[in-house]
Amino acid sequence: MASLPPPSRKALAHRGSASGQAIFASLARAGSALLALATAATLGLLVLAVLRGPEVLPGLASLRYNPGTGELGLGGLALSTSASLLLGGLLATPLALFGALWLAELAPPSVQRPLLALLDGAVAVPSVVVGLWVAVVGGAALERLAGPGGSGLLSAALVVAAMSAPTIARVAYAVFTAVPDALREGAIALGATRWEAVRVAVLPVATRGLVGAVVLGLARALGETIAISMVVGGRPSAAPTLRGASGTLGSVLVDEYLDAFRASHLATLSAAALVLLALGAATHLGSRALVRGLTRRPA
Amino acid sequence: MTHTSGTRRARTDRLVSWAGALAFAGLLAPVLGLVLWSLLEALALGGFELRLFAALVGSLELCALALLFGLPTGLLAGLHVAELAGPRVARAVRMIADVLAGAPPLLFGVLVHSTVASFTGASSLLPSALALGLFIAPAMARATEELLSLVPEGLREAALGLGLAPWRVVLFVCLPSVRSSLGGVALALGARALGEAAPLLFTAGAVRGLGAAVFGDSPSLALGLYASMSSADPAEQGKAWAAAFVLLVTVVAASALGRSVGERRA
Amino acid sequence: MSASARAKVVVEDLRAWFAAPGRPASEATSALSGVSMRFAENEVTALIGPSGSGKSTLLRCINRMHEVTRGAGVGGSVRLDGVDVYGAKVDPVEVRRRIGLVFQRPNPLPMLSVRENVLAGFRLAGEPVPQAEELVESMLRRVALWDEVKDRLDRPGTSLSGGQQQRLCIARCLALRPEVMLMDEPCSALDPVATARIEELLNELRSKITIVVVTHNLQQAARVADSTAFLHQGELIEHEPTSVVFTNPRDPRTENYITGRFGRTTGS
Repeated sequence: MASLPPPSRKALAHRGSASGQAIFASLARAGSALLALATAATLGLLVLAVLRGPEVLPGLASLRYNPGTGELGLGGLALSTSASLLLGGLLATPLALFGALWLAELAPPSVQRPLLALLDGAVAVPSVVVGLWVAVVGGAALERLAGPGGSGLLSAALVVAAMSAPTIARVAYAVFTAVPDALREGAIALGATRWEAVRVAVLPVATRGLVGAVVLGLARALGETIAISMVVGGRPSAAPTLRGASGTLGSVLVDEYLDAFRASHLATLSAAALVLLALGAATHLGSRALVRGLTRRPA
Repeated sequence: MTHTSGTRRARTDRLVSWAGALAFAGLLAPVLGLVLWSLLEALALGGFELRLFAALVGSLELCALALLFGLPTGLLAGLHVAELAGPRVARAVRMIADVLAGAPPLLFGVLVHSTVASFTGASSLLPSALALGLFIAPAMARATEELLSLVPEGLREAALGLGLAPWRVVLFVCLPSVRSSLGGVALALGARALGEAAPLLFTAGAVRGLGAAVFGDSPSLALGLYASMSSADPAEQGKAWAAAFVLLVTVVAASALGRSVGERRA
Repeated sequence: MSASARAKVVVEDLRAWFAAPGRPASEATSALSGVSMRFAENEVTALIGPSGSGKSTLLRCINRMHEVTRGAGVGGSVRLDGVDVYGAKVDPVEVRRRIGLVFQRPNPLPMLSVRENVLAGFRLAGEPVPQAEELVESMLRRVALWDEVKDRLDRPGTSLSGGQQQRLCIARCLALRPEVMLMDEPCSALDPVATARIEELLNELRSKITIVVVTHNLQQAARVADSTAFLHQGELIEHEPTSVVFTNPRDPRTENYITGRFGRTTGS
């Protein structure tokens, strides 16, 4: 001890640390500000574009959409978007939830880790690849099924299912693993089989989180523009039918935004983007509220 | 419990297990099938060529630059929400991040296209990276915040009790304790950005229908794939399949790597 | 407190509370309601009292750790050598360096080696440590840990046993040469042998540094403390030389507590 230099004693006032804290705080604030700025700029851009062609607003709910003839109603596109989401969701949900349940609760422990890694890979599969596959392979199959040229909505639904299923399964897996072991063990100690334990002890607790998983998965598919544009050939013209080609709110953006020069056309597309933005925000916020507290370990 | 009901229950258990395994296989089959299919198609149509790897390098460059923009922004915003902001500001920033995360990625391309792109001249790399950075940042912000909320309070207090400035506690104690998870998130986001083509339609110049030119001018696998597939020329389609194969393998490998990095114990 | 000793820390009308997140301070739960007391320089002061009496809160108010908890608030004053640590120009970071805190659960920093844990206060603050090796050795010797860990200085601090970890945390605290060391039930997570080591250490440190120790273990207070303060429901009931508190308490509540008649949780 004696050989050590005495510690420097200063007053209790700030030394260097105060400026470090100030720099840290302003940098962190800048990060948030940048996000806010991007949001504001996006919204501002779209709202401005809508305001430049206000004459489209009254007819926006109309089902007819055909920029060539000046029919600019988004109702039909909204319908086909909802229909493809619904159909795709119906395809993806049972498979994804059941698959996730198996991986989390019933699968042999030795395969869990590698399969989870594969599932993570599936979540990251690019939408262009899904689009290519559905367009070339799925499209041909659907064509045989639904008749020539009549596969638009089914293809779009297939894209939605392919894009959302891995995400739904991944979030559902996290929800399942967040259910405390004590609940399972309680049921198993009472003589339940593993499946019975899942049914009586795990599923009731996880339901809310599973709904959140489905919403989050579909939210990802909702923002999906490019893959659907790839599989939906040609311009959308009228209300969707199962057989007719149909665009969605997202796919028309990809197809037309760059080429749109008339103010009314741009205004319509911007309105579609605003609707997508609102839906995306709502689903994200909603699913977070549903999943929150389930996947977060207690502090 | 009678013997018969016991075996029936055991049988149900087995049945559910097998059905579940089947469902999971159904979940993964398209991905594995896709890898195989694209490989076979690309080989059959002669899609593999050297320019493909130039496009891969271009994609990786773009992705790295996008991470360079997006990760720090998201990290800082996440730190802000988790460590500094009051409850009201935190809720607002969280909501902003959710709005951005829920936005169709294409809109980031539109945004960059109509704001900064006019200043960056002929190069498409910078605006493309900016757009993808905007795609990365909100997810990074939310992940950072959630990971920091998992840092045990005792660790934070130990460091504060040693007389460390709060910013040092966050940077040198809290963040390092979740660094592997953060790395995993970053890799997964990089993989997502690598395959994201929609925003690039707006930032990479007019490319649609110019399949052949894409690989030369603005090398991006995802965009090249999109441009090539609409061509009726089998050679172009072969390129699309080859691009799909390389993209798939890269992205799946990156996200699997992200998982193993994220799980490594610090 | 012996009459001759100078007061190192003076607490005056200290109030502390916790407010639920997002709720106004008026709805807060009070943890301390106006405590005033003096801590003598280079002596050991024990804080005793039933759970929820405000002992730990008082301790954490002294080095401004209380305010780290969300929703926590403080009123009144704490003076270190006459300077109010809650003064406008005071940096809480500097306060915590001069008034160290040892936690109930040993909390060596994970990812850091034994050596780096001793130096953590300097290293993480980005300060150079002259003669780092000597400092590490002298501090580990001081907490009687050197012989046990000298061959594994590069192993993670978390690889040590609980008692060793706690002594490492004390070494980490002492390395910063604090003038006051606060200890929040430092032995409650330790076995009897490890507890005895810490108590020996306290006996060696007394007369070199001002120590305030919160404890549930009354025998421990009787063994190590020069003076003992009894807190109850956020108020200071009495503060006297330890021998007085344990043999001849003034207040019936103190007597009830030390004879185990109410609210006494056994020292774990």
